[in-house]
Amino acid sequence: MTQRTHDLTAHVVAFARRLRRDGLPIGPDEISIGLRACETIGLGRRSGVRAAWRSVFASSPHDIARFEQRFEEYFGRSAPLHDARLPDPPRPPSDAQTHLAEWGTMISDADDEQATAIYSRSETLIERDIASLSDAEMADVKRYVHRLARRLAARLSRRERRAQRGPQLDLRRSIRASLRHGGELFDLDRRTPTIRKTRIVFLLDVSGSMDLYQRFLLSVARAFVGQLGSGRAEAFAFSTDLTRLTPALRANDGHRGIPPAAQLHSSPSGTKIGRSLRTFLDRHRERLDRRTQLIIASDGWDVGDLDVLDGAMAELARRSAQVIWLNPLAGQADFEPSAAGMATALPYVDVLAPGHNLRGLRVLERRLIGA
Amino acid sequence: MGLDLETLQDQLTAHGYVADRAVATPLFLASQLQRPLLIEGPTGVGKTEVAKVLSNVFETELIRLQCYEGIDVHSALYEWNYQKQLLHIRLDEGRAFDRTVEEREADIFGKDFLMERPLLRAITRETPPVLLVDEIDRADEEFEAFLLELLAEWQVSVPELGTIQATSIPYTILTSNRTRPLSEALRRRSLYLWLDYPSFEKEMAIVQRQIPQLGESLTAQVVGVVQMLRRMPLENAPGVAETLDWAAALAVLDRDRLDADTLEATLGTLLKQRADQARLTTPWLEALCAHLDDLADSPDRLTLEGTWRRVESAVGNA
Repeated sequence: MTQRTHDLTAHVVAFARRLRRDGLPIGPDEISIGLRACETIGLGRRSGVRAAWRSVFASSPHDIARFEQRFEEYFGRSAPLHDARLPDPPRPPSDAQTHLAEWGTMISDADDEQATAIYSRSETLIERDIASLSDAEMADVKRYVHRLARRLAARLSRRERRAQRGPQLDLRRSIRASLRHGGELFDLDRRTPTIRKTRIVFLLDVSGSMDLYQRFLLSVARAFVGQLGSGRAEAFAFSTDLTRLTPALRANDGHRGIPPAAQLHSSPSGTKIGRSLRTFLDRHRERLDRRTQLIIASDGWDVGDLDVLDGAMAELARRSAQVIWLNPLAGQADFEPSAAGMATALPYVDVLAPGHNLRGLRVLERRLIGA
Repeated sequence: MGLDLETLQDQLTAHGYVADRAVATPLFLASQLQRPLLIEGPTGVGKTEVAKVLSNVFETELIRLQCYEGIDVHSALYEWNYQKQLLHIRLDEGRAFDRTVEEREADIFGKDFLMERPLLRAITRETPPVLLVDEIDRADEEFEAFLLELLAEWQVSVPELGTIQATSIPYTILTSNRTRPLSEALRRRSLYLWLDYPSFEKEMAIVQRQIPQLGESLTAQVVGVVQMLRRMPLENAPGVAETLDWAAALAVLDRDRLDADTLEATLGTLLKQRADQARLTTPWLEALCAHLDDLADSPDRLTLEGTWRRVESAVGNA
């Protein structure tokens, strides 16, 4: 069914609403600018209106792809703009089954308004196993992870603080203080740069046994990569081979699901943790330094050569600030690091934290800020 | 300003920037609606260039704020001239007793002691300048929030002076290399332009415009090779600036055809990372060299696509 209308405003509104359902950030403000754009450009020029609306309604390459598709649908190539065909909106897809698939997607800043409410709610989620959560609870956890990453990013990139002694004079403060003494500079305020340029490297086990927690851990990595920016956070996936995830995690803005690279070499036959870590050292050694926090997420089931694992762990520990190991099994009451791989790696691990719930992230936060 | 879209587009081209409708329209709209324009795209596509050419077209000042990690209000907006303040306090000493601390404070925190940084300068001009906020993704979120407030209110408050209202609203261009996601609020406040690598034809036009002595077949080879490099798995693909550097280098070498030796010898102008140069050697470079002549013989997009397919399959077989 289609309905026809000759009212341009109605068209723009309908078109904008459709885009909003596609996830584009469009509100009344954008719609009114879209209309003003028509006046400014003139309706006669289809390519002009299209380019104008593109710049008003879209705000990322992903948005642009959606926009082009919808523009074709609504305004086609031939019909005049004020006589567009308005198809009935398609039904939104049922998302009951997809919450895990979408799980890694980033949330927008607008959600921060709800932050306080979520905080208290997430308190009750702290101990829950990620695999057992409902959709709504998932969404809370997702926001929690996002906020955690933001908080950490802010802490980790603060550059200067006041100090009694320090290399730089804080003239602004000093002069203010001097006025109290008739302009005599008695007290010199100083600033000192905080040189904690912490870097973070994630190594995520994506083998079959980690399946349930893979998306959760990936989204943690994505939040960090997104917030800390280029060069400061890196993520890699491993099972039988090693894949660098950083570009995929950064590029997709969280609109798409989990990057397929992570599933590439997911193998049910088991993980060769030692060999993967060795590969990481061979290819990406330069990404580690003494200020790098290395976070390994794995259940420690290694089917490879344990000597290789031992050697690789020793070198990783030597080359990084500290090694934090998130293990989804560590939350179980009767947990003992008995998996052969875990037992081999343990002497080189500074912190062993549960990787199946938010408690583990709390530990992570404390260790990173205290670092 | 009595300007329409066509005129702007022509003017951009006349000032050396090859702009199509998709680029000219958002620029036009941003200037008419007084909204900031956020330009994103891979490095080296000429995002910064847009602001420069716009200031030439509007015959107005270009004020540039280069963002970096840890940039703060004092380097972006204003700072007090401490030396001058100190001097003033000294000179003022004789009169120190008949004036209150508050009076003296008001004195040295007056406009005479204020040093304008780019943002304050941009909003206090008589005629609107072009304000380029370059690589906003490198600034931290606190600064982004501050900038958003400025872009929405067009006023700033200096604690010691009070509120300063913009005398004119600058044409504002923000660029980002997407090293971190920008806030939704800033995206929504701005119009958006995704600037991609130019098409084969457009890049041909750019090179021919800048380095006309190169000759058509060599230009086609240069542009063709760069366009193919961008499709290869490299960490840093060459941008338009690299294309022009390379073309200029070849013009100096006075070649009229590109051969394998020359390509290898001048690869450094195109690929600045050692890892990328190493990655290109085999089998990509061999395949590329084997097909260099195709483009010189028929410089068009179809040849480029055909050449690319042959290069790809040669690499696949290797």
